[in-house]
Amino acid sequence: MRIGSLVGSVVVALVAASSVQAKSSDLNIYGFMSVGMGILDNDKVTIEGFEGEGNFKQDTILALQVSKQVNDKTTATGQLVSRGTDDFKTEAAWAFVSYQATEDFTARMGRLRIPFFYYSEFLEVGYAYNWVRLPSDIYNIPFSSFDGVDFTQRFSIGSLDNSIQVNYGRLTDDLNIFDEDYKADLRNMAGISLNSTYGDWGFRLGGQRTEMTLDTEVDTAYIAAVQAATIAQGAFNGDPTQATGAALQTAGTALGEAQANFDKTRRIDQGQTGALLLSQQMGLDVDAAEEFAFDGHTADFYNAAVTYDNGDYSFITEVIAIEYESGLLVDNRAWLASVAKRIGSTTTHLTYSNSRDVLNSGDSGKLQKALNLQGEDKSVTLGLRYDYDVNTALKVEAQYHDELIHQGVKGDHAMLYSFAIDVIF
Amino acid sequence: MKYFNRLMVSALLLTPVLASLSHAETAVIVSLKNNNSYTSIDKDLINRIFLGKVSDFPDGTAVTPLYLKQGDYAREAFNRDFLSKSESQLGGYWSRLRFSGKGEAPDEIGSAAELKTLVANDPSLIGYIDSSDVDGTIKVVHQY
Repeated sequence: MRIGSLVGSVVVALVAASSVQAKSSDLNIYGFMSVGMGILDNDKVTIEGFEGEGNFKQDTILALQVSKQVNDKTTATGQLVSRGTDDFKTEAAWAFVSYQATEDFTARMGRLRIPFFYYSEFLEVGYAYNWVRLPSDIYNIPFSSFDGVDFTQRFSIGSLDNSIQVNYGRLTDDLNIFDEDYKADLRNMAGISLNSTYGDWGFRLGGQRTEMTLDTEVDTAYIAAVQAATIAQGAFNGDPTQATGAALQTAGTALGEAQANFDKTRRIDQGQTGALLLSQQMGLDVDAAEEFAFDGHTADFYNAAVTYDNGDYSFITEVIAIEYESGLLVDNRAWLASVAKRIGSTTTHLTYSNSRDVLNSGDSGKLQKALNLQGEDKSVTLGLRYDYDVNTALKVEAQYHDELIHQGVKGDHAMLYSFAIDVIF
Repeated sequence: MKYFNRLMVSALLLTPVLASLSHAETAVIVSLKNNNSYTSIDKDLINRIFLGKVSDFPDGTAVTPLYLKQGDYAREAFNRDFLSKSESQLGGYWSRLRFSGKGEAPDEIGSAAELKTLVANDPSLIGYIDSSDVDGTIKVVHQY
């Protein structure tokens, strides 16, 4: 009897140990998927990548996450994401090895998400938030991952639980900005984030800096043609003969051809070329060649957020500031406030967001204004989330989007109606 | 006046009975060998342990929480009373951590009996069961 019960408890202990161990050495596969569509009622406005009519691809995404515990402290994780906006090309959003040195300190190395703002590290996991997609007034940075390291230290002060995350790395990739591709090298990407929770409350502070180099090009042929035409015009005005008239006509034809080629260049190339020309023409005290370029120019991203969630009511407000050293992108201030009320399986939410570009001071700002770079947007979003079951959410929402200023001139407004199904597995 | 007094007394006597009828109680349990079993663990700390925000018991030893499987009545009561989350909100909470590589949801155990056996044999574990499943093999550190 004694031996029997001893054997029994040993067996139980072994079973318990093996079941815990089996779990930790297994290959874990999880994933998330979103299928959505949006209808925009005004084709003069482009919001969230939609340009009128129904569009399924924009919000459709599939991701698989595979993780394997290598030993007690080391785990390898990969997350492959396939996006409708990318013609369903598959890309590794995450691919890292993490080393848990202690219960509260973790180091990770590999491809990681940049923890810009509150939702940045899970920005594509639709199931994890109430919206069909994150508010683009804030979540519109054209890059989201980097290659490098991050370190996270967790600590508690009384009932205030905190984590400090420090990251450093680099990103070499093609970036899609204003629907055009640029080869980018983002060096010395470094940042720090502090996340804290206290009961139902959450707080966040974050800052990131990187040095941006883009393959933008000055259209020197266009500048030369403009200068030649200006000189020919001056010569003709000073001495209107047949010879100067013919020279002006030739210069004008050449300028026309150069203009046609210039119009085919990308928007930031045009901005860079335009900055050189306009700074001369306007007599501005700006070193446009140096300041209106992307040659290791810094970009700083700051963020603060406060959240509250008691299960029935939730609230978030988030403020961001972006400072670009290059004059070709305008500094930005944006914020959002969102409230949600859950009754059973249905959550109703209402969000206001605002994004405002801030021109540089002095002649640099005058040049930005002349280049029509600045914008201002606001949005109001009303939505419903229905938790169909534990792993599936259905969402509908209506978004009023007002482009107060679009590329320096008064913009238009539109309604965007969206529907999405978000699944985790 | 006398009638009123009697009514008061009977109401007082009935209150605990009614309270226990109105909701099933959930018991948070640890091993008898756990150093923290001499005292109770408050609800706030239980919330933080089961949401992965705290990784130590009050005495500084490591703690690993265990959930019951989805659909278990005691799990629903625990999610509501201790975590203030619906099952979907809990899924959303863990999906944020999982898909940003910052944490994994606790293991889910199939039954109260299995959970009690695991907890009884490992002082680092903490779990919850319906209070009607409490027996002498484990120690209750909080009951609600």
